[in-house]
Amino acid sequence: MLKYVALRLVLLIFIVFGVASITFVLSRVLPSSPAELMLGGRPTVEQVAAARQELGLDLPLVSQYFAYIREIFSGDFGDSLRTGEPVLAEIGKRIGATFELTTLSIIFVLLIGIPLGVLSAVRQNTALDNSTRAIAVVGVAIPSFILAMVLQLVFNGMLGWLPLQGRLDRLISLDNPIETVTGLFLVDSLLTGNWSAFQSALAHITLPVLTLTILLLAMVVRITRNSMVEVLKDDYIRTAFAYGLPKKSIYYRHALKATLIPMLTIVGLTYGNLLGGAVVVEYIFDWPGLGGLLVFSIIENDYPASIGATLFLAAIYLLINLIVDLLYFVVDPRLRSV
Amino acid sequence: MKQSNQWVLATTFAASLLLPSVAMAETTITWPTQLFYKSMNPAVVFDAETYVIGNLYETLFLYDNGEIKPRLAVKWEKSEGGKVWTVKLRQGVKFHDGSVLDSAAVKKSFEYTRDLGKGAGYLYGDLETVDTPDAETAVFKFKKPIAFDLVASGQYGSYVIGPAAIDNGDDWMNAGNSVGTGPYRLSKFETTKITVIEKFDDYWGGWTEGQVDRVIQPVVLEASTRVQMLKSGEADVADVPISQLKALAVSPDISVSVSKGWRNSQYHFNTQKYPTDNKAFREALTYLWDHDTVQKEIFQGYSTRSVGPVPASMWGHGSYQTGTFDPQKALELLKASGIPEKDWKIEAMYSNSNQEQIDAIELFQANAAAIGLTVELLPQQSSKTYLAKARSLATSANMHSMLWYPAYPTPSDWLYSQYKSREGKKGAGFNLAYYANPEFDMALAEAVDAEGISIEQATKAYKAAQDILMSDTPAIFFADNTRITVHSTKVTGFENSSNPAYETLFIYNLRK
Amino acid sequence: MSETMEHDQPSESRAPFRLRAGAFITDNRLFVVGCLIFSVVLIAAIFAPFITPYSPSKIVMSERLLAPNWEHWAGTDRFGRDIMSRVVFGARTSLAVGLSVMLLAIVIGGPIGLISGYFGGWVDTILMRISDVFLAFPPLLLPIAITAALGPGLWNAMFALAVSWFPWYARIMRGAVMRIRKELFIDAAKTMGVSHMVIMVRHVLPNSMTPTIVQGSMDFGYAILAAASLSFIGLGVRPPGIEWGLMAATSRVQFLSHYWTALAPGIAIFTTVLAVNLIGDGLRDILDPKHGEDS
Repeated sequence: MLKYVALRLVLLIFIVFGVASITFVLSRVLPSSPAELMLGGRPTVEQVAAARQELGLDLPLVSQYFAYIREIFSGDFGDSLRTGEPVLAEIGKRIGATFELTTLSIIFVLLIGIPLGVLSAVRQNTALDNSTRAIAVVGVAIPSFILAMVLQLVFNGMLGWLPLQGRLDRLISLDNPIETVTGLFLVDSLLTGNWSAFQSALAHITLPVLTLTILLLAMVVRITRNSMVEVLKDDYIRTAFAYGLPKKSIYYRHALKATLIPMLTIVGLTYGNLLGGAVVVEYIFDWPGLGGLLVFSIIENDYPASIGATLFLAAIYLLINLIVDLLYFVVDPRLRSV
Repeated sequence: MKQSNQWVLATTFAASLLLPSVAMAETTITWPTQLFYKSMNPAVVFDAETYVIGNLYETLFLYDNGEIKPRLAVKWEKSEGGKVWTVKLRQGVKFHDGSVLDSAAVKKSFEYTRDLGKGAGYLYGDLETVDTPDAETAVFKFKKPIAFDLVASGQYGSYVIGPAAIDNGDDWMNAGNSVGTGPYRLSKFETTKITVIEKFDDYWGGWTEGQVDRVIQPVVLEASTRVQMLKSGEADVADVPISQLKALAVSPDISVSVSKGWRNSQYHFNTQKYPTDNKAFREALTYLWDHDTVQKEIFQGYSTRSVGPVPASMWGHGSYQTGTFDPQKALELLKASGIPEKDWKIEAMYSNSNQEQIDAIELFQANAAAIGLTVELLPQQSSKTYLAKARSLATSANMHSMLWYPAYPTPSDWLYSQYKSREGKKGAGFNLAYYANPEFDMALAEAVDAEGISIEQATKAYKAAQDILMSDTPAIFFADNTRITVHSTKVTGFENSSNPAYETLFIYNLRK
Repeated sequence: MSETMEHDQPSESRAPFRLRAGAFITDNRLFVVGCLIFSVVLIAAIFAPFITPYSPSKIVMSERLLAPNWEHWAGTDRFGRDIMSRVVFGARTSLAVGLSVMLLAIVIGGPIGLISGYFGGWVDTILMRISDVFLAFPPLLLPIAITAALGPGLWNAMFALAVSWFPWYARIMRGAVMRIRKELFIDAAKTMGVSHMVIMVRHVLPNSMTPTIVQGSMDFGYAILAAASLSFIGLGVRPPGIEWGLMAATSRVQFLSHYWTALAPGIAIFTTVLAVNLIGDGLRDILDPKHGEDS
């Protein structure tokens, strides 16, 4: 097991370097004048020269690359052009919002998606199964932005129940600001007993979470159902049926256990898709997370911030996948001897 | 339980009798904006920041419908043909930090603006010194005659800034602090997020009931969100696209206030970028602008046709034919311009913050396409990135959108800031036409100097300068805009809060 | 559709064609539905100028923001342009984008997978680890970052999507090659002194195309969705280009009060992607029955 974990970590380091290299190409090699992009505004010739020196653009590409890698691994992403603050601080302020959004979404997706997938597999070719499969097929064809706009139209435009955008009422963030404990508004407002802020935060997060949940449900249902169907074909399950063990115990004790590994894979995949989907969803709902930061900093030509956000989102994804990989061992002791 | 409740009620009741102001709810106005304010230093700003700064700081004089009225100055007189101005200051005026307005503070403020040389600091390039014979008298001495009463009543570069703000510097002001004499003080400023101003209790004008205690300006880029905020009552005032007015007007809780404005809309031609560096080519383009449709459908009547670079409501304006929509004529002129047909391709850049500018250029694009001219659109999400790109020739486009209102109430700023050559200065400033014509510069300098002598003389000189400008076709002048404020019916007093000389709304005069 | 029929022919019994066709349709109902919808979209795209009642770019300001009616089935946008005509023309862009992204990704990924799988060893390790790096980004993130660096525009968006998609094809191709390279006839060719190049192109490639085609048809829909998303956030097609994602984006100013400006492009993307996905699923079941078990 240790050997596998070690190998996995070595690979991870390699990939992290690769990701950093791609962002290096994107930020320093492809743009025609990175120094001017870095400066924004209307730089003077001296400013550009100074920035070129500071960025090391006068050095050979190889030494530029090493300098870049050194900076990134020491957590120095430069200053955001939009706000003038260090990019890392900007990311720190926004990571809670993304975490809150994606975590809530994944909880709902798994809570609804897995039982639905299992039921669908157990009762194959019933009406329930057919409609679940229909949802799975239809769900993956919905564009995230159209879904978000439809939800906005219904729940804000027509019913007026939920706010259109944002994370908190503006008056609340001024008059009853949430004390930061965890960075998650729902949790912090409850911990500090800030009831009005909790209500506002809940109202604001509903539509973005609903959007992401609906978007990813299809995928989760589909994979769960397929892996459950596979497992049910397995010999030992058939044997269990043959021995007349109670159905419930077979499904939930044995079959579901056997699907845990594919489920973990689903979690990893879903999280990746969530982070990707969150980019567009955060943009539409003006959700102050990393995805929104990425889009707005790109639109605003805020190079340091967009590169920082890209790297961070990729890093989170890698981390989640690493955790998922390691969890395989916890779930399946047989793998430990590998 | 019951008893304690009664007790609370009783004390609250008592408190409300004793201290009415404590129990009174704060009156807050929420005013979402699509604009990023870049700075809160009155000596630096030269853009939309005036919406905020105009309520925090005050000028010496107030321009009101052709008349110059006292504000921080109560009496003034000019001597030596307009080179020396002696100003008596209002007494009992306090800055936000509690310090007292005196001549030393005024001197420090004007010299600071001049020495910094940013924003509209150029207005005081000829200010030699400010003498302070006593605490309530300031004597301004200029190298040349100047209409100081006009210049210093303007909305840029002439605010009296408290000494503490100057000492603490730019960063301190941008951290959400103000030391002005205005009715409001800055309490929060985050450039991309939110600006909050709060009532300044010791304002010299005093306070009466119903006035606004606080204005919150969150940055909301999405027009649909601003519209929705108005509808739901979350916003009290908002800038919304004109195309949305009809849908909004249905609601009994929303009304539209209309007032006179000096803002005009233009698209500058880049006179230094191929192919718009060709004058005949530029002239051809003006025939592709469908003025009637723009007025009628895009501005929906909330504008009038431009008569030239200076709006018709300002003295000294010309009366030019700003273009006829005639694609056939345009085609003929394009062919005659000498630009080969394969190069009939231009780029137009604009900021996404104004929907009418976007709609107008898309209409232009379609009309151009009909005769084989390609217009590539380069929308920019905010005015900040827009200006950053447009100001450097390398990243600029062939056409740049521009909304203009004057630094001070004369024609000078429309011409000076937008069309005077930028020789020896960094970037294009607001001269996004990259226009440089020494003859025009000279005529303009004459006109500005004439302001210090007499309005009649200045009018004549301004017209002469505009004649030169118009013959070079540096822009499409397409609308003199009516000022529209869309707001909740709960807020009143808009007619007293707008003055064409100031783009801001005077919050002090609003009631809620 | 015709290929699949051909594919069916040799393996099926000698039943009359009509019977076989009927059986095929009942067995693959969703696939057929997908094909039908897709044909409609395809025909609309090809014959757009002939079937649309209005020119998609014709501005009629006096008819702006009209609700759907008999003259304008899907209403008009804020320039008075006919939304239905624009949606029909938009099919051209979306289909072209989907197809180009897929082909480009195959063109980049295929050879990499081919070389990787054929040679194995350190070549394989290096190429596959490089592909892994591209897969380390959450979906849509890399295309966004690439278009940000290259600048917005249709071509850049297509390139960016293809670059972030190629590793899937590299993997598929590699897998197929590895399965096949141990077969006897490859070894025979090697011992006969046939060059690597010839073996790869003549023998390996044709035998590994099926999974690539299946994956490609499945990805076609994703490519359309991703391209529309890029346009939506302002990194893809720009005006005067006509594209569904862009139409939805520009409708955001007024969609709450004029819902139809977003409705038609939304339905268009959804139905097209749905059709393409149904075809993809169907193709997988038909061409690669081992893999496809259901839905």
